[in-house]
Amino acid sequence: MMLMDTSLIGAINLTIHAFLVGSLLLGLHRKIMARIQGRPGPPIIQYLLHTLKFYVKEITFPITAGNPLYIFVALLDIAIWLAALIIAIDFKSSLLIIIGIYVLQKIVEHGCGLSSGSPYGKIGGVRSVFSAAAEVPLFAVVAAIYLTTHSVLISDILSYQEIHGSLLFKMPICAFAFFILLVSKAPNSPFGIVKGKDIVSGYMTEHYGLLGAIIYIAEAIAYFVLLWLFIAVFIGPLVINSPVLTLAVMVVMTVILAFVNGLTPLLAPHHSVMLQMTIAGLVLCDVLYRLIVGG
Amino acid sequence: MGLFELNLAIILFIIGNFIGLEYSYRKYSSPYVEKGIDKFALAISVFGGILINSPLYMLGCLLIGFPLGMRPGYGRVEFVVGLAVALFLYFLRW
Repeated sequence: MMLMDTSLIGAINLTIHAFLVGSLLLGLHRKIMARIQGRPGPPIIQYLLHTLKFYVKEITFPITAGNPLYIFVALLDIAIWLAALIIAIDFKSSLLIIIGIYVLQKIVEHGCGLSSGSPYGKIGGVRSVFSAAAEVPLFAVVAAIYLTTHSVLISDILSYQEIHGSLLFKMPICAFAFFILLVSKAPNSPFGIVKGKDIVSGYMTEHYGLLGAIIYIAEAIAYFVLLWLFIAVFIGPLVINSPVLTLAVMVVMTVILAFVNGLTPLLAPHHSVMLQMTIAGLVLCDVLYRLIVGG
Repeated sequence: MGLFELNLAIILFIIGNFIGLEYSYRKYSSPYVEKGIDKFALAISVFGGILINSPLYMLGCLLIGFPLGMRPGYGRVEFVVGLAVALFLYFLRW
């Protein structure tokens, strides 16, 4: 079985895997987007090169930065995504904990933006709270999954799919809502108001050097975890039991995400929130239907 | 294939990318050339595509990473040829 080794070595192995795969996929995402826009684009190891470059740079602090929040928020970011990685993939534990972790990500974005003292960072932080609407579909998805599989544990969802087949075909609306979450998390997304180019890099504007590298590492792991969750919850154990097949599906999903993000404009903040709330409403209708029909 | 072996293969693939980047920046000075095929990179790519379907798949990952890592505008045709060889041999074996 893939990734069942819960020993320390297994966890380190998994962490390195998540970082490398996440970084390469983000590099591939950027490359494909560049090709769509008619540019040659950087090599796919560019994200890794950026991370390494920032990692060895000198640490300086902006004069406006509010320490120690400025430092701890980067460490919190990597801590929460490492926790998500171990809880989701190693322990195959509850989806509710993953939601909790995803909500903590908002604290990171908010704290990161506000602690820097930069107006761009501040707007990014405020928009991060504003775009909390992205979590509502996630709650609704978990509710619908619970009504169907009678469990929120990833291990139970996987064994349910082993018997009843992939959830993707049983709950397409939920899969769509989760996919939109992936779209909003991917770089240059139409929902990426938190890091929109109109506010430079949003909450990341003033984090550079080692702290920037730590946030980059956390983002690579986050991307890997979210893709893994989508594959585990909606496609099932057929793919997730083989690391190579999981990697192949992740590459395909990254290509799809890059096309979606490359061909859609950045939405205005209120449009982005309204669209996500509409999707949440759609999933809530699905939940109500399942409540009435009974699973 | 276990996760550890896959990690080693990915690391070798990244090293291949690095070598390709370094090689192409040393060899070519013009920024973006759509036409023209690097014979050395093509040979390495095809060889990597063959090796990736053998027990030496880790070396294959290193070699196929070489053309992919080359600077923008170079190594695209070479990589696609190597990938096509790898996929063709994979389906042939399957």
